[in-house]
Amino acid sequence: MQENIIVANKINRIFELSGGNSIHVLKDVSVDIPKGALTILKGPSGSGKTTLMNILGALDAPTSGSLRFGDKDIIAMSEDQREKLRRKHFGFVFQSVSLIPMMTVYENVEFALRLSDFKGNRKERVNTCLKMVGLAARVDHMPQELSGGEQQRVAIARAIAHQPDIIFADEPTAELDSQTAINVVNIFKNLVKEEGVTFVMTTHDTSLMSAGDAAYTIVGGEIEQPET
Amino acid sequence: MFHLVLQRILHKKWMVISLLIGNILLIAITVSNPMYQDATRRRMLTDEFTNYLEANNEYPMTIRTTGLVRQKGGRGSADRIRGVADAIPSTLGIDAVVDVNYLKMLSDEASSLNVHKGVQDVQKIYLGALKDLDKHAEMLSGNLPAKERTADGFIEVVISQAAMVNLNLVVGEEMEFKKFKFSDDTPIKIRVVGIYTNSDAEDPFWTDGPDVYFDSVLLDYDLFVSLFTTGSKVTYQYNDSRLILLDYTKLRPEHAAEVLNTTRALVEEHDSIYSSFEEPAYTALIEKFLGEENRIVTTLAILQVPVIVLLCAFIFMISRQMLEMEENEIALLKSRGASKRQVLTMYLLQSFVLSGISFVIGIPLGALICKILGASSAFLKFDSPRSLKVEITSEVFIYALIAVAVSMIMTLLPVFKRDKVSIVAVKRKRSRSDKPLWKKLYLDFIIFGVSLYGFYSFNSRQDELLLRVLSGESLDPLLFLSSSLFILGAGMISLRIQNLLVKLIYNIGKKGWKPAEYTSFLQLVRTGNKQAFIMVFLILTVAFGMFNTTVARTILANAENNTEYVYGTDIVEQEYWKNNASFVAVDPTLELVYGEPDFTKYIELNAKGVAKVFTNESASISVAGAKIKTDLMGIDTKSFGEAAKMKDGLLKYDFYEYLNVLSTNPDAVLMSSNFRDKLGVKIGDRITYEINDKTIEGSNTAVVYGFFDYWPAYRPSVVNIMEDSSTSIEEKYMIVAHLSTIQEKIGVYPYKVWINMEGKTDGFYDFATEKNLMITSMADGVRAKEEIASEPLFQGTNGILTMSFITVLLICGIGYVIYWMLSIKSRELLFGIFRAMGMSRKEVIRMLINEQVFTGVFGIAFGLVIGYVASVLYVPIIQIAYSASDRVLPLELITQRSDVVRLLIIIALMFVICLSILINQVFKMKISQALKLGED
Repeated sequence: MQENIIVANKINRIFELSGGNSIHVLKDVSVDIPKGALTILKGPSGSGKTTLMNILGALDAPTSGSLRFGDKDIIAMSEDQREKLRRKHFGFVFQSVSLIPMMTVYENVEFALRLSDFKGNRKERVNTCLKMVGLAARVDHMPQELSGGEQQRVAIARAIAHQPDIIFADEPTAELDSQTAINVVNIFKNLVKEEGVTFVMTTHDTSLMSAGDAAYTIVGGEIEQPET
Repeated sequence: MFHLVLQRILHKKWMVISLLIGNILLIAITVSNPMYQDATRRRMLTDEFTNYLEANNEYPMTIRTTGLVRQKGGRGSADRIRGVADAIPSTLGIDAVVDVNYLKMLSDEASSLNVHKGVQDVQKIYLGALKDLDKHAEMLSGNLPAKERTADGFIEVVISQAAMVNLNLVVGEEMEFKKFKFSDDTPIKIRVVGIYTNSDAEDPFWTDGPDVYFDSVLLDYDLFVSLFTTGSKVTYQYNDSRLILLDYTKLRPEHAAEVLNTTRALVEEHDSIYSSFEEPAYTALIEKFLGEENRIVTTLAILQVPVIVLLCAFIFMISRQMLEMEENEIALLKSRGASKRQVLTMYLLQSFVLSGISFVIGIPLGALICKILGASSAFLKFDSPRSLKVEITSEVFIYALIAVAVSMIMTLLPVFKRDKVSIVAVKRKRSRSDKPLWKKLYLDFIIFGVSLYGFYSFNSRQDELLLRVLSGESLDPLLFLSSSLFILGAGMISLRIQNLLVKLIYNIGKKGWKPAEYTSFLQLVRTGNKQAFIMVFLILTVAFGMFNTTVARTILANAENNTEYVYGTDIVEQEYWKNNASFVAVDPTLELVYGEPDFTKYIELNAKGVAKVFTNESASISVAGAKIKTDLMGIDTKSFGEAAKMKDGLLKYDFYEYLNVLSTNPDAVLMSSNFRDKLGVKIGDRITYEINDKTIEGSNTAVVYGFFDYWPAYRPSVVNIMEDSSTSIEEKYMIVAHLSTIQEKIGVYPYKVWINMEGKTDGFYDFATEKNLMITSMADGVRAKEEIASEPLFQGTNGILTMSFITVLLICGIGYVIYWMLSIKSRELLFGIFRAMGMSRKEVIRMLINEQVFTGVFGIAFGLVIGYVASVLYVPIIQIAYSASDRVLPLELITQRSDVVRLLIIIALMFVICLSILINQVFKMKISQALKLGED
């Protein structure tokens, strides 16, 4: 049994709507994210997987439940502390294009290093990361000049650049064709294997389920059957 | 469809409100133009007439005709002569206030039937009749004449007091004419039954006064007509005179030219049937008005062009932004099958609704603006006591419709441009960041170059421009355009400079920039186009603001300073000097002697200084064998120093130094420097000046102690405007000597009294009334100075420039806030990414502030510099349009610091509003929601 980097217990998330209505998006969800593995959160759209991912990534706060990152209680943290946490320890890859449009490929990746106050040789690290995702030749391109798959690979390079403890990828393959999607997942798997990076990824694509080291299926805001 | 449009309007309420403000302002300002022009024209014309009335004490629109009726039909017939005159008011289209018709038989000797002291008087008497006499006369004694011949065959007549004295007639007197006979050949006998005078001193019927009928006896008008004109078998010869006073207040400026031409045509056509039908005085007044009207109205119209262009740009910008927000929507509509026409119709309808609302609000607002313009007395000051009569003419609606059309084009232009866009193209376009067209074409440099060429060509022709303005032409519209282009071109070039500067700063610390600064610099350097428009707008606002205040302040202050200088001091007056001129006229051997009015009384006047100043314009001196005509001024140095006003900085040394130098020697004189420069006179030269005009004769030899370029009331050159409106420049010379020396060597002659009231002359008028001063000539420099601000040209300029300035501020403020709000909206996803990556709120805000600093602060700085440079270059040329022929002083550029501060405060306020909106947005933003935006 591997060590768990994130432990979420009985997470509830209720969105208050105008007019006194509310939606109970997550109901008593408990998940463990193992370190150095690729965990997949699966579910149809609207199931609450993105909400869960946002909570795990400290982008959103649960209505109730406990959430620990290592030995730290994320829920008890201030906004400042959560920002620092995201900056240093987390990396994100989003469903849609999440690159910063006015920065080149190189600058996008380097920006993560700037944010985390990376102490080493930035240029070397950027190039290493881009090599890992197979885009070393396109450092000076603007994001708009790349294909969707290429953009997503840059986003991955950016997410891993500052050597975060965990990377959250929310539907990273949703806008890609299936072959490109498989390539992206393969990159994740390689990174897990070679670099020991921890990944959490959401998807609604059942064909990608088997790719993960661990997987949860969410339906209607509840975990259906924990698998290992 | 309409419902959809309404929904859209309500949905985008802020954008729509801004668009509406833009539209309303555009219409209001556009329609205020014809309204203001119209009101200004009317005021100018009325002023022209009332000034004439005040100066000449004569009704300004008077037509006089006199025709000799001597035959029954044809040219000399009564009908013809009366008919033409009768038709004058209707031909000119102006009602007559009064139409005095005086019929007067040629004179005949009449002998009295009453016996006075045994002598039968025989004298020449005119038999006449004044139409409507009964309505305007008051009988001093007796009664009005009977409408019929009396039973005993007499015609009753009345006489004026002057006639009573002149003809030596009294009530009851009876006379018989020698030659005048009735048609039955019986002699005409008259009986004086009354003495009349005017019933009301102000009645225009008595324009000439009752005394002009000093040689006539007046019978009843209708009786005259039936006895001697239509009813009679015999042809009597008599003069039919008309005095027609036309209601000048009803003369509309647009008809002025027509009235002028018709009047001249009338005179020309009918001159031959009248013994006297001269061109009336008002033709000259109308001519003067027409000459000035063009210049002033054109100048005022041109002044509004920049702000109208700016408003159009504003509407275009808002519309474009709105469209950008709606790109997805349009693309969606189109992908679902909406045709190009339907989309266009939707926007057309939207624009129509907005225009309709603007139309309804814009026209009354325009009238209000016009009223406010009419009350302007200086830049950003509206307290003129004279109000402007604003009328909404049909022209106003035409202008409003044009404005609506322009605004619709501006609103729809972006739609046409984007119309071909499909949903695919939208996505593709978003990923492209081209250099804007104007940068590729170097449009900024081209505009700038054109404006500089314009400046160069105007600047080198300044003298010619001045002469043209003085002869009544308006200044070339291209000049104003050139200054606007300068500001625009320079503003666009500053965008390039800003971009380079930011790049430079970015590159200097490339490695070390913190994330917030790093992203903001990249944002500025890489996505410059987006902020370009708003920055140009900001630059234009500041630059136009600076420029407008400088133009307005400069022209007014210079005109005022010039007036003060030309007058010399606050009050220049001359009292009545007793003299023996009437005796000299009889006996030329006598010497003309004047009695000097008591001067010591002025001690009681609460003035800063009172001085005796002798001036003579027909003095001369002999230089290098030629006699040079010169002005001579005799002063007492001490009191002149106290009484005269002299602006600092005009003279090489302090004004009092000159007076001190002069005071050292009673025979010293100061001379205008053209004596030295043109005629070679040097300091220390001995010169002899002499006066030799009708009343004064004498000369004195003096020593030249100094030269001056300027002296209170001295004009180095005078522009003479000829009849044919050509101009010539006349060099003026002046000698300043001691009054005591002149009085000793030449004699004591009437001098003027210069009084320095420190800008408040009311006290003088009280003093003059109290002391019962008999003033023969009088000039009030303070009033003249105050009146400048209410002159149509100056008032219009101040008003329009102020209005433009406020408009520019308003639209710039709205534009800036909208730009930033949209900018935040369109970047919400990006902020989500930043925040997800761990950027704090503070950092995001710092990033935004940094962006504001580099667009806003840079924009303001560029604007200030451009505005200043534009003022330095163009104001000296533009103010030529405001030159009077008595312009003397060199131009002084005036920028009131408080105006610039006001401008900056408003802009700072704008920044604060923007920043608070921004900060609020950033704090409200939920990262997870922001990120969702990217998922569509």
